[in-house]
Amino acid sequence: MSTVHHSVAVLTAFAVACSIAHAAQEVVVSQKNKAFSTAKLTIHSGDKVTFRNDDSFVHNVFSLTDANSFDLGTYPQGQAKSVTFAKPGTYDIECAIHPEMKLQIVVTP
Amino acid sequence: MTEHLRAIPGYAPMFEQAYPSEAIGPATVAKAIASYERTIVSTDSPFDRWRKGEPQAVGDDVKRGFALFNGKARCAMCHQGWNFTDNGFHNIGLRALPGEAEDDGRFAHRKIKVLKGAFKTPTLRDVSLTAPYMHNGEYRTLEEVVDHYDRGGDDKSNLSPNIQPLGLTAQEKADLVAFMRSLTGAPMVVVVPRLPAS
Repeated sequence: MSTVHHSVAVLTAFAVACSIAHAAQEVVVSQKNKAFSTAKLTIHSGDKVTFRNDDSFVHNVFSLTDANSFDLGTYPQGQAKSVTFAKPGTYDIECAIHPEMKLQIVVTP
Repeated sequence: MTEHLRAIPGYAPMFEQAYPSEAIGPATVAKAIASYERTIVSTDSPFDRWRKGEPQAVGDDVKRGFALFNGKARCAMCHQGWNFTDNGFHNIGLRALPGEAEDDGRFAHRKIKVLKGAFKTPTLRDVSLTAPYMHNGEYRTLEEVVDHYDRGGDDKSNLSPNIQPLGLTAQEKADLVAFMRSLTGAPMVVVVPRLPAS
């Protein structure tokens, strides 16, 4: 019985440690002066990236990377949209309206 | 078109010199045209002289038009910077002309919804010399262009949120046109390109 209790305790501690190590986080990327606030971003799988429009005109965010293609549509100044990256990989992110805006997101396990 | 160019013997050494080991094709022809266009630079317009410190270079209508351009008329949302373009792609609510099919614009190259019917923002330098206007040549005058934006476009099926009804007065419309006419640069001498000998 005590062995069972011990095993459960160990597994619970391991699960807690894992959840602390991989707790999903939110990273905010600004879109300002027709540029992303960073050109490259490294996150963990499960993390959420929020794209915030800080320009006075509309922006878009999309990715055609196969593992997680998405299109956030258009949104004006002050608004933000988010994407959760579940799968590891390298994602090329762009604004369709302003093709000079590029961002690469590396998602690690 | 590239077949026609390849058939002109004089072009072969010229392309080889400019683009070694690259064939005469769409890519090299596009680069050649772009290189030529970069030599055509509009400078010393009345607007430029005003911004460089000559207050008398333009009239009050131009100054009012520039303020409208950056404010109420919302033009600078896309026509930005010294070249008056954001190099971006926008659907500005143009209708297909009678008898012509819808033009998907940038969407043909990037299958993103916002790009359906979107075209690249052109410069406004020398715009008074470049009629007809819009990607389909729908308007013959700058006044018609201003009217288009004032009513917030026509086809609103995938309209850019940047385009909205403006409520401009007749005076404001005239001021915007005066501003755009002030972007006409000084005449420049160019050598008209000629086909090499066959």
